[in-house]
Amino acid sequence: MSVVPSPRRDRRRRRRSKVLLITTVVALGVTVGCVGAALVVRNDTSDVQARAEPLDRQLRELIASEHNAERRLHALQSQSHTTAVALAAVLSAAQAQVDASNHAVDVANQAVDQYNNGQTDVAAAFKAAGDAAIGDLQARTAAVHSALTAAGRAITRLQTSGG
Amino acid sequence: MSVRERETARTDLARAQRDLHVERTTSSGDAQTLNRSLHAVKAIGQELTTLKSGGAAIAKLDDQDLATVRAAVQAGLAGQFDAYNAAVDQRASLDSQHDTSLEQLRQQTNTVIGTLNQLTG
Repeated sequence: MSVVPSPRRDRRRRRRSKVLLITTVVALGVTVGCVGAALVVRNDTSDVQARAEPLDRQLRELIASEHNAERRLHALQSQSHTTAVALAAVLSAAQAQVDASNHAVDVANQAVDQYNNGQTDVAAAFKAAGDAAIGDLQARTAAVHSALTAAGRAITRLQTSGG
Repeated sequence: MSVRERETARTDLARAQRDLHVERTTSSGDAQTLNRSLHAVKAIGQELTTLKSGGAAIAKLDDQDLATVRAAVQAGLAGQFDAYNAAVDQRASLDSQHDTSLEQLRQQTNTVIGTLNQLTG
């Protein structure tokens, strides 16, 4: 004796199958959609990263170039100051040499006056202050040379700095 | 690669664009000042060279001055009045040349110092 399914049970089974099919299709659709969205995000991210990289590189180059300019400018300004100070020192040394020379001549003239007035013999008159005056003049003349050497070096460095 | 990474990449791009713009517009000052300063130093190049030669001339005149003054004092110590007078005359003849050269050097030096002080700011 065979079992005959009741028509109600058969309808229920068909409905369940239909729901299962629809659920499967929807799930498949959602999955495909997610994969598509993920691919879009991935492409977009790669594109954004590709656009950011050259900008980052340009920025790094610009910053490096700016730092280089800043360093060279600082060196040039520093050397300008050093040169200005060295040149001022030359003028001071030259003036001190002139003063020392004039003083030595004054000392010599005074010695001659003393001798002419019969106050002392000529050698003693010159000896009294002549040695000191000549020593000072010699030192001042050497100082001019030193100042000129320093200024010459500073000028050379200035002309090569900042390059 | 997540959505968060994508947002990070977008943020990085925006930051890079903004930083680059800021760098370009605000930080080229030093480069411009450097160029102006280099031009200024180049412009006084002739004066700087002249100062070197002018300084050398002054140094030579100073040496001659020292030699004549020393000769005068030594002649005085030795009681040699003719030699003394000759040395004094020789120094006097150098005087005007020395004064002129020194004044010229002073003017040139002050001009250069003025320019250099402007560079130093």
